Amino acid sequence: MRIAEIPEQLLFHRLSTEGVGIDFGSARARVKTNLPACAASIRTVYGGYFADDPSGMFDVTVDLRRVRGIRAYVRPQCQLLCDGIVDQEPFPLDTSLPLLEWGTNYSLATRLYCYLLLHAGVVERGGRAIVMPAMPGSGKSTLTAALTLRGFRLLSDEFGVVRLRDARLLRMLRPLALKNESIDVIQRFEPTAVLGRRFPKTRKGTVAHLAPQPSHVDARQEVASPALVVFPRFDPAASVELHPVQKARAFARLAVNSFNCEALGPQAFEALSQLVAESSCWQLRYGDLNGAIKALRELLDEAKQVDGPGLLSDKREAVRW
Amino acid sequence: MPLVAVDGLRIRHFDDATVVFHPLSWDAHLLNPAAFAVLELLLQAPHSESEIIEFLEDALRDEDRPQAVAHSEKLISELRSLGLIRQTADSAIDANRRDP
Repeated sequence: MRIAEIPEQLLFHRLSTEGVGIDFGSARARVKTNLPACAASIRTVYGGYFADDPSGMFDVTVDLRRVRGIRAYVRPQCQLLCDGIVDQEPFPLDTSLPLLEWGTNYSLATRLYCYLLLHAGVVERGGRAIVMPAMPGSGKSTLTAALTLRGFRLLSDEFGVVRLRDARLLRMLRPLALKNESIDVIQRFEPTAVLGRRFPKTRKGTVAHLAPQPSHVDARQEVASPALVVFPRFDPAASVELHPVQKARAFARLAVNSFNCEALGPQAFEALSQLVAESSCWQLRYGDLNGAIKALRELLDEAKQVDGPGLLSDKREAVRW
Repeated sequence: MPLVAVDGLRIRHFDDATVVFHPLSWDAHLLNPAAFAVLELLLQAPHSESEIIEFLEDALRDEDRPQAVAHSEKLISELRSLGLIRQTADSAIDANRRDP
């Protein structure tokens, strides 16, 4: 049963007792909370996920609780226990979902050493993936969200999960955290998009989460092959500009954007090498979401016409849409 | 004293640059064609600095040849600081070890 189909009271009961298992694709979490407001937010942004049996093995158990003592009365806070340990600073009680999301991401980033983890948005169409590594503030999440609302399927917004043995992209399907202006941008871009409630005054400003679509959840075990590596940068002055990036430079930038490249050493080097060898690499400056989506769709289609690695010539001149 | 490339390097070529993974530091380095040419030379067998300069003089274009010494010294210094090459005491022993 999908989480959205569970009555609110029953979901809260389950979350506050044995917890609910959630499968993100390449990782699974047991989620618990005794905060009714957080349970309601989970029901919205995780509505398309299945509520799995909470017994058995999980990569992490996250448990969001109200801080006790004087904090229960003066500026109440919540704290997150990951496998029973508090390793995040407490948050104000009214920002429980952002703490749950950031804490879960942190836990996964520090546990999943069986994969190469890139800080990247990843979407796919027809089994061919676009990997979009970027630093915070570059417009990565906005572009990733817009692509998933226009026919691309979401693999991940925070984690580009690369399988070490063959450099295939796995899914780490998590709600997309939109910040500040990008919340309204996406709401205007697609009025039917399911967004959770807004959390103002977090460390990153106002945050709202875009719920992954149920069809994307259903595809959470599918893998995709790398086709494009695109370094996005939002620039309100630009329309859409694409410039080729040398693969060696792309390799270096991907390595910098990795969570665990240094820990995995030679395995990460081989996987990253293969990913770059099979991809066409580009720098994207965009000020127009529709134009950026059209440009990426065309790049991906062009890459599709050639069979095998090294799919698209990077010799193409800078193009402007 | 002759110079030689360290053992166990992993090398991948992309377009006009090469990425080299160091097996001990676990660092990856981007090398331009000239740097990789020197590294490749030292992967085959130990060479002295004068032999490397000669090699680069042959490889460089006419107008760049007068800078071969400066180029070589800089390249050797950088490759050594990255730990990709090292001095070796006995060139014959190392050559035999690499090509039994």
